[in-house]
This record gives sequence, C-alpha cells and structure tokens, in this order.
Amino acid sequence: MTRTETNYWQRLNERKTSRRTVLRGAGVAGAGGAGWALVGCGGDDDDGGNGGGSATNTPANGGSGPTATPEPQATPTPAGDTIKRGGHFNMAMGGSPRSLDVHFDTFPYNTAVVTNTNNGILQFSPDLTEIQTDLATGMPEQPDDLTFTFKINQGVMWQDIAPVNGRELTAEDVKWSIERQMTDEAGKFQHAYFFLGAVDSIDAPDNETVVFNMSKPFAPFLSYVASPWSMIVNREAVEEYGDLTEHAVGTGPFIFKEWQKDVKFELEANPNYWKKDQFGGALPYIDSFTINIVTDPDTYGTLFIDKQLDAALLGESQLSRVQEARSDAFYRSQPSQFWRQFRMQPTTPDAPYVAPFDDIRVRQAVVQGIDPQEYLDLVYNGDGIVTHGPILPVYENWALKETPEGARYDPAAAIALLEAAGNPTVSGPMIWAATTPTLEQVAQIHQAQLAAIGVTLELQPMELAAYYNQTYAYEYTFSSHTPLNNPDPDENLSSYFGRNSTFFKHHNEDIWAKIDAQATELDFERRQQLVEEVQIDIVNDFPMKFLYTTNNHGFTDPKVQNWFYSADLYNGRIHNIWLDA
Amino acid sequence: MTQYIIRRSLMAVPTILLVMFATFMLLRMVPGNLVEIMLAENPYATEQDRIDLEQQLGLDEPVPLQFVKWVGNALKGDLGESPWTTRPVTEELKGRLPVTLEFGFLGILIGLVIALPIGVWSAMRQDTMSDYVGRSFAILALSVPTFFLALLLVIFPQMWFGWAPPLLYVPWADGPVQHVWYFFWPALLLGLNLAGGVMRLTRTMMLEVLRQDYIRTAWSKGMRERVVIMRHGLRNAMIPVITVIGLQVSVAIGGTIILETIFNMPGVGRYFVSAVFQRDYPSVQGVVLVLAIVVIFVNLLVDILYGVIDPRIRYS
Repeated sequence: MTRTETNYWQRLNERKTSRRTVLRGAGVAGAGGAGWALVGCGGDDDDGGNGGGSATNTPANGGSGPTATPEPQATPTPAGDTIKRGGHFNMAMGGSPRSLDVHFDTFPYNTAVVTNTNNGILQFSPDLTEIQTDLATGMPEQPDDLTFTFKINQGVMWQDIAPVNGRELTAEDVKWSIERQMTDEAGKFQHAYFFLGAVDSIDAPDNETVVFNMSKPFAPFLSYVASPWSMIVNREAVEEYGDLTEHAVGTGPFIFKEWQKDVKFELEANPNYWKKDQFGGALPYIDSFTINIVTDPDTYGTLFIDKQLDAALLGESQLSRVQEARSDAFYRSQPSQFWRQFRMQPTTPDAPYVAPFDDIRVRQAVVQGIDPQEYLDLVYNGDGIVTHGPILPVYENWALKETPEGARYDPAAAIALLEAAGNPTVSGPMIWAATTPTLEQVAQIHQAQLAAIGVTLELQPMELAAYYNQTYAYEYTFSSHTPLNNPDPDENLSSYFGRNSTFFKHHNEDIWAKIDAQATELDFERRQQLVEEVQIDIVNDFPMKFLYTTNNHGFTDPKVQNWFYSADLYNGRIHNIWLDA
Repeated sequence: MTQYIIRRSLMAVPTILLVMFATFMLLRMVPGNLVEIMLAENPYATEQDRIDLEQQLGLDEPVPLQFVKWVGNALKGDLGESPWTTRPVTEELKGRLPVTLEFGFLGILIGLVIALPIGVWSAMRQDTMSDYVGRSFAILALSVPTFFLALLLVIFPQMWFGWAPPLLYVPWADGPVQHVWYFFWPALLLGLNLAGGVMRLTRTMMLEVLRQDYIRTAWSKGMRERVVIMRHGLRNAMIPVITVIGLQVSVAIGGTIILETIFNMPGVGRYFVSAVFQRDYPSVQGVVLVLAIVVIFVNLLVDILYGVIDPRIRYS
C-alpha cells in the first residue's frame, strides 16, 4: 500500500488545522533585525524587526493557485471584483543579503527577495507552521520510508529573461537544483546539510516526476524541501553567471530588475507567471515592488510615519511613536524567532563538565535562579514571551507547553540546591556579543539575578567576530546567546544538542540517541512524543536556561491588502497582495 | 613643482606599504577568524570543512606569503574577492567610493562655508556679542555628536512638522535635484561637525594675522576692509587652516560611517563596517588601502596649495 493518502505531513497538517486558531490570529514574527544575524547561531533582534515587512490585522483565509493547502492570508478575499490590480508596493528590510544565491547565503534578507522570484517544490505557509505545495501538484507519494515521489506542475514557465528566456520548467531542472544545493563545498553551499547524508540519489524519470531516494528514514526531509533555502534555481543562469550572487532567475511571480547595493531591490511583475488566484485571475496583482535597505531603526520608523514605506516591521524601540503617528495603519504584534539562551559550559566526550558544573544540582540552581519574565519586563516593557525549551512556542506542534518543574524560577530552591551541593564557589566570566545596549542590560540582569543566589558572573562583552570565535571553540563558562529557531524540530535539537552539533555542545548520549530517534521517526504522533521527551530531558539536564523571545511589530498602510508577512523574512512571498489606492 | 609631486608620490609608497602591512597583519591578529565565522553558519561543519575552506581561501599558506601575493595582485589592480559575496572587492568599491567621496566633499565644503565666514567675523569683532555667538556655535558644533544630531533630524521634524529629510538614496541619474537634496542634510550635519574646529582655528589665526605690521600698514594706506581682510589677512591665516582641513578628510571619512547608516547611503563606510564584522579580509584590506591613498592624495594636494596661497613657499 502506498502511503500517499496518509503520509506524515498530510496527517500533521490535518492535526494543525484544528489547533492553529491562536497563532493564526496572532501571526508570527519577522525578526531578522540584525544585519549580522547568522541563521542558527546568534545574531541579535533587539532593535527589532527592522527586518522588513508587515502584517495586517485580520485572521487568515483564502488561498491561491494549485496548492493543496490554502495559504493563510492577512485579510479576507470576499470576491474577485474587490481585488485591485496595479500599483507599486514599497517596503523595507533591515539589512542586505550577501548574495542572491539561496544556496550560498544564510541571511533571511536573501529569501525576502528570492521567494518572490523563484518557487520551491514545497513551501511553508507564511506563518511557517504548515507545509504547502508550490511547484509540486501535491504532497509526495511515499511508497516506502525511503522514497518520496513528487509530481511537478505542468506549464510552469521560467521567467522570460536571459539566459533562460521563458522555457518550460522540467523535473530535470528540479533535480539539478537540489543536487547543486547538495554540493559538498564548505563555506559556499551552506544548506547542503539539508540533504547530504540523507538523500542517496534523485531521479527524474519523466518531465513531471522527481523521485528522492533516501539513504535512511529522515523525518525533517519535507521541511527541508519546503525551506526557502531549497528554492529551485535556474541552471542556465548558473552556467552563464558562475553563481547567482547578483542574479535571481526563477519561475516566481516577480522578475528581479535591480539590486542597488545597500539601497534597494527593484522587482517587477512576471507577466507570464504560471499560478492563478482562486478566481482564475492572473497573479501577481501589483505591478512592481521595492525592498529598501534601511538599517537604522529610527530611520525605518520615520520612513513609515512619513508614508515613504507602505509597510514596516519594527522593534519595541519604535513602537509607541509609530503607533501614535500612524493610528490609521494596521498593526499586529508578532513574536520573533530569535530567542535567548543563558548557556553554561559546553561539554564533549573529551571535555566533560568541570567542577562545580559537574554537579547537576549546581546547574539546576543556576537555571532556577533565573527569571525570564524579568528580562522582558525590565528591558522590553514586557514585550515578548517566555520560552520553555529548545523549540519556540510559535512551533506549537513541537514546543513544550510549559517549563518543566525543576527548571522554573525558584530562587529559594536554587539556594537550597547549592547548599546541598556544599555551597561551592560558582563564578566565572559571561561572554556575549556586544552588538546593542540592550544586550548589556540583559547581561546585567543575568548578573543581578544570579548574585541573589550566590553565583558570581564577571561580565565580559565581546566584539561580534571574537565572540563567535570563542563560542565555536566551546570554551566558556557562561554565555548569553541569541540563536534563531527553525521550523523543523530536528534543526533546533540536532544542531545544538545532537551528537554532531556545532552551534552548542552537550555531551549526553541518552539525549543524542533520542534526538537521532526523532529524526528518523516518520510517524507524526510518535515523533511528537519523542521530541517532547527529549526536550524535557534536555531542560532537566540543565545545560542552559531557555529564556524568552521578544516581539516585533508589524505596521501596514491601510491600502495594502491581503498580506501576511512571514517570520524572519524566511518566507517573504508577496504573491497575492493588492493595493486599494 | 613637478619634481616635488613626483618626490612626494614616491615618498607615499612606503607609507602605503606600511598601511597595507599593518592592516593585513592586524586583521589576522585580532580575535575572530574568517574561517570560523563562515563555518559557524553550518550546523554540521567538520574539521575537514575547516581545512578545505582554509585551502580555498588561501589561508593555509604562510602569512608573509599571503601578504606578498596580496600586494602583488593589488599592484595589478586586483584587491581580491570577498569570500562572502564571491565578488571582486574592486567591483564593490567602484559603486561605493564615489558616494562616500561625494558625501565627504560636500560635508567639508559646507563645513568651510560655515566656518570661514564665522571665524573671520569673530576675529574682526573680537569680544563682541557676535564673537561670543560665533565661538559658542563652534563649541556646540564640536561637542554635540553628529549621530545625535542626525537622530534629532530624523525623528523630530517629522513629529513636529510632518516633514522628514530625504532618507532614501537617489542616484544622480535618477534625478540630479533630488540627489543633491538627499545629500544636503547628511552633508550639513557632517559639515557642522567639521566646522567647529576650523572656525576656531580661523578665528585664532586671523587674530594673529590682524595684529601684524603689514596689516597695520594696509589699514594706514587706506585700503578697503574687504581687501585688508580677504587679501592680506585671510590669505596669510589660511596656511594652518588648510593643513587642518586636509587632516579633516580622514575625520570626515570616519564621520561618514554613522551618517551613511542613518541616511541609508550606499557608501564605503557601511561596507567597511560590515566587512569588519564578518572578518572579510580582502574587503577590509581593500577599503583601508583605497582610503589611505585618498588621504595621502588629499594631503599632497594641501601641500601644493600652500604654494598657491603663499608664493614665498618653494618646493625645492
């Protein structure tokens, strides 16, 4: 029996349909604030969502094109005749991508552009909680645990620009693009790890079929296929230009026209875009759009107030003045996907915990001595949410719903634990990347909270690159870190706590085994259970305190309709928006 | 004069080499390593990846050899390729350097337009109310940080008057008037910052010159005030002032970095900061080299101007 009808992701999506009501209203964030926010390894979102984009204030509905799952929309689409065509949309983001090549870059600023010029086999919903079809006609057939067969939509045309000149997309194109992404060349193909070691081979038996032959059951596979970093890029363009650093050629709704470095991107509607809206009308609705590069949060706020931008995603620092000046704008607060960790000493088989951290009671005391809510209250005016484990609450299918009891803030219990451990001297330097003043405030709160239970932190701010060097040498006692969460639980578990992790090191073979197990578990409920168990195990082994994530604040001019801006610019599609005026 | 220029240009070579050497070595000595940072973006990077990447970037070779190769390529106009963008540094600088130079030039020009008249006027009206106002202005311009003024300009006019300065860059080709209007505000802020020092020096030098015998002689001959002040006074006071203006080019370049960020200007400053954070060795080296050449060139120009202003100066 094929597993087509009951495959993992279909069941996952079915479950979520009934469980997503809260987040659907609230939306999720575009963080992406820091120009230097490395995916997965700690940038800083403190100046806010300066990442660009926006969200409107009405829950989602509607959909478009041949997708199997309706795409969440920001505002209702009551009838086709309410949609207005034409116009220019003006938005901004807080930094520049280093490259337009999705296989090279890791900054979400890249995907803010390329998700509008290219398509993937699958895609995430804008709120990153669902996997939907894009180039694929449906979710893949899975005749067994090691085979995924995608059917590709027919009549998909590459954009009518050189060097591809509007020819039809084939399954071979898809195969070639994913194989390019899998190139094992350090420092360039940053997303090769999505498939390397898991995908044995890719076949394109005919023009509409792509078959992935896996070397092992691999639960994150579809997540990685849906990732914006797995967009299908054009072979002729790569052959013509060498790479796609300054070129974006795809099958998407917008044609890349110009990148003025550090200034803006200009894109124009693709007149031959293959997807249609729910009424059979052509997409996209707008004629063109600009993504301005605006790195300073105050400037970003002023530009939106001055109506030079149609949308803005801002941090807490700009919130009150923009709300006051633009009371006409749609507004929605969204949690960022950058989160805060207070880390203790990383451990490996060769470098186990040193005293006093080898006593789990000491680590637990440190964890119990920290109150995440106080950071939000003191530094961010309460603007954020407390996190409970390695996966952010925005990923409601995977996140812990509450902090395990032994890791909750309880200074009295922390002091008792230290007493039980013989009142050892717990002290040491705490490093962090001193990129914004708010991070120093956060560090001072770490210091004050832990001083209350007798733990002494010596604050040691570091220049960003130096911080990364020390962090990735895994040689520190305490660290305040700001990584980026990702849609698939494996990316948040393996890369921090797994046996081959690099973002952090935590030596616990039971935890490693459980992380391995969830990565190969294709049954959703079973995987969900494993993920929950391993998160609790991680939290209860006290390698770090999981703290909080801040909010970003999306503003949209009232004329902008039907837009839901995705978290961290991760999925920056503006395929379906229109402008009322 | 030609011999002097050639001699000075040759003397600049060791300076430039020293700048190149210092930049090259310091970059590799400071904590924070390009390879580590690049690998930090890959959650499953291995030791072999590190070795491979070092080889790809040529960082596995001895540092002196790397330096010699870089100098050799730079002499051929090749400043290397950014490992992050895979684009030649010269290409990146080609678009950005004119923006920063234009911005810096306008800033200095506005600074001089503000500083020289006020400095001269203050000297002519020493210890009067207008002198006090001028001197207070100079102290204010020196003491208020440019970035603070910039933030005031970005936030408050919009709040109070519903007006904001242009904050989105307009290339010359897209509209010369808008282009100049866009540059005017950041250049004004930069100019204000530079004006304080020049104004005070101009005033001091003018006071010194106005007490000289030849000025008294000029007055006694019944010359008009404009001739005495401009031809005999200011011209003689300008030598040290021009020296300071030359030195302010490097100050202006430093000042552009923050203003480029606030005003979204695609200049060298933003590129440089980003390159430093990413330990983009070729880009940092390239920017420092080019800016060093600009500063050396401007100072050569200043030395030549001495002779134009004061013909008694000979370049032998």
